[in-house]
Amino acid sequence: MTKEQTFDPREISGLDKVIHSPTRLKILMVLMSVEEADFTFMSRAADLTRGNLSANLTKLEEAGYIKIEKKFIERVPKTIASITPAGKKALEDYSSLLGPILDQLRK
Amino acid sequence: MKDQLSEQTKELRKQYARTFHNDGLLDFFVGWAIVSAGIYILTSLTIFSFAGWMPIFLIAPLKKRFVIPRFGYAKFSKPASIPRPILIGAGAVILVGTLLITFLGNLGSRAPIIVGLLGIALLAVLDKGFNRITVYAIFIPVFFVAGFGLNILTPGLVILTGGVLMALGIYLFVTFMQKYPLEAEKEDELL
Repeated sequence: MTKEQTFDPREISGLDKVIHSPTRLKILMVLMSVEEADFTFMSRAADLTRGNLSANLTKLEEAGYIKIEKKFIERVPKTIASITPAGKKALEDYSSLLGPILDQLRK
Repeated sequence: MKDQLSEQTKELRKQYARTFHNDGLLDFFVGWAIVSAGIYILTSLTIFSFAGWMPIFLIAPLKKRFVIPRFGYAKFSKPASIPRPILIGAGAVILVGTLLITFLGNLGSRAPIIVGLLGIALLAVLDKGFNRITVYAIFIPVFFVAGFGLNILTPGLVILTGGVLMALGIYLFVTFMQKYPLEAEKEDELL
């Protein structure tokens, strides 16, 4: 029996809790889609308030999943975030683990 | 599953890029370029052969002034397109071809403009793929060819088409401004 055909509820424990939050998942999906983005873009694209976004960006940065820099764009200081290779891998692993679980639940 | 994720992020990237470019600026300036071409066909005043292209340099500053503060800044990474050396090579061939036609050919003064514009359109398609922007890039030379070379478009029709695009640009710009109002810069950006 392949992994796709077996549903083991214990696998859910292996889900990355940093990514498992809908807010942080949204942020990572946005950053996975672009090379880098500023605070306003992320707030618009993920439909998050600035406070919520700020708090969750800090958590993602602490986990090493995103990189945050202060850059001057047209002489205006901007908070620019980008996903790190570790963040990309974590998102792919999360997707690989959750996907088969969801597939089994649908059957 | 990894492929599915990659497909989803590709779709998101396209969606963000579409929204980012849905500010009407390009539509307005393409419209103006076509209007200028129409006036040039009508009057043969050289100034209008340049007037259509000059404001293209305003797009970037206007985008920075109106679009980025409202929608935010993002660098859209893109899937590998045509390698840069091939693109530069194609550009060089078009440039040399245009110069040869200008100095050696006897096709008249309009031929280099048409070849040059078609070349720009080709490069845009190679670099950006086939989308609304490249459709516009093709649209303008087609108008030059149809209006100048083939004389099948009247100046009035060219001007009218450009005017419609300018109006569309203004409508999109106003809609964009309303949809994405300016947000005050707040301290919570500073983490």
